[in-house]
Amino acid sequence: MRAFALTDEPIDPGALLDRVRRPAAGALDLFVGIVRNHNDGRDVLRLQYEAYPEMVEKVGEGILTEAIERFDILGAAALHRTGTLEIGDVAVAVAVSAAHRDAAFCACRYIIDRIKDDAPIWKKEFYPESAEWVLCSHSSVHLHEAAH
Amino acid sequence: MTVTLKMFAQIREAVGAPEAELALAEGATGRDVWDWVRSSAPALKFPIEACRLAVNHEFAPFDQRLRDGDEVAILTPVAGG
Repeated sequence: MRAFALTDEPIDPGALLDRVRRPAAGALDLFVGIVRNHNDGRDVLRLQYEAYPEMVEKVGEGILTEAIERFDILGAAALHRTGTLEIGDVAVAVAVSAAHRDAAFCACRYIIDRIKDDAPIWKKEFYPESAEWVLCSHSSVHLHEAAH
Repeated sequence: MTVTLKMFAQIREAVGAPEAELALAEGATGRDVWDWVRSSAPALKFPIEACRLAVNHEFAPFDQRLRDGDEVAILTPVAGG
């Protein structure tokens, strides 16, 4: 399996963490993003993730490579779900190993932030009466600026 | 020349197809693809500044010249994670 992958199967964060274990690692850092039941004051029933698979893998591998160059870490892996997810399902997991905790925490944060900014993945939220594609706060800023 | 346009999320729903073959004039750029999307889905609310162009699975500026056989996509704001 590639270090960055999409899956339409449930994500096992523990299995992802095991993939970055190294004998020289003294720290393992794991971020798990899950589906919550509300957003912007609205009840969310479930989500649908859609991706541009060929591009996601290229962008994702690039993000992991940059993290390894930028931080003093030993291994990094990430897995993102596609398809329909229910409340509590794991949407994304990022695992990092390093000799010491500082680099592991920093690299894990860097990777999930970059995934949110650049990975070509879209999220549709389903509410009791409707459904909408979600604009994260970062892109709302762009829309706001563009209106001026 | 012909390019393959991949469509996702709001654009896929507004145009009503996941993919289209576009016949473009020589020298066409990402802006011509943008114009095709806008005319095919006039209700789409995004300004070009909010979207990004991808050419052969890499981000590219909208003024990049396209080549025959390129795979292009207009990416509306992403929301992974």
